[in-house]
Amino acid sequence: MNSRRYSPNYVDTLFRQALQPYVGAQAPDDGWQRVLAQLQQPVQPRWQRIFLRFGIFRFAASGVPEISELFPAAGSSLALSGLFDHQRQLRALLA
Amino acid sequence: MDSQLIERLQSGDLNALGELYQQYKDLVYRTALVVTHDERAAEDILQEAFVRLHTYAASVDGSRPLKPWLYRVAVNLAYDWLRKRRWIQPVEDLLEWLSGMPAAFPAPDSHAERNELVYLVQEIITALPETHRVVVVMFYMENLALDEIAQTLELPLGTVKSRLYYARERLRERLAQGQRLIPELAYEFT
Repeated sequence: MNSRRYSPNYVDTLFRQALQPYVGAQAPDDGWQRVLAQLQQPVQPRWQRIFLRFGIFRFAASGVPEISELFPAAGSSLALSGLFDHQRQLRALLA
Repeated sequence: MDSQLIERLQSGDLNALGELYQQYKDLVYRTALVVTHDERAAEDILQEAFVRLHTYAASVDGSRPLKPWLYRVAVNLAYDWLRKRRWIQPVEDLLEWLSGMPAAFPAPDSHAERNELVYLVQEIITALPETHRVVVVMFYMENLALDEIAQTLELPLGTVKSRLYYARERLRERLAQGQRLIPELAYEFT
């Protein structure tokens, strides 16, 4: 079958239509707060996002919660060294 | 406008970074989103791009538009994410599963009504090599001229043209293959 039968205009239109859903994509509302937070405490974005989801920064005034509080199902056996490292960094920064 | 903000940023004014963020956040976010197809990754890339702007502010040429610089950073971060995703994703999914959060968030396209043809084209774009996908996105979504894309990605103009040509040919081939399956394609488009 001859693929040249589809005109350039038609191909262009299809590409634009397919990408249309992304054109209106908007950055999250808390994005700037996250940038500021990272500038003040250099935690990698992926870990910071997880911390923010768990509300770690909301607890900042009263101290960083223990990993076991965040993951009650996993208890103290949760061996995610990256998370523990960053929790230690946060604790030091907030001390 | 950019030059004044960059100058302020270079002198340590965080408000200038905030103004640049407001100006360019959606551009960086949607570029990252369309390359990675992952909202969480796009959020991280957006954040990292502006942290890098802060970190490397002194080396940014304030006499030139900032947009290409941010595009380049967003695209490079998206490439990095795609390379690393194999080992990062399972850890993140585990953490979010443990916390009861959803493991993934749908990209905007899954919210929208899509017909079969649009879906097919989206599949073709997704299947393109990242380097080609970025050119397609910049050309068709951001409406950048070919020479602007070449400048932004620091590629020869011929390379940009050939990547776009490749993408168009891939689409034509798939359309030809799909004619038997999708009645909408049974018309002549010449």
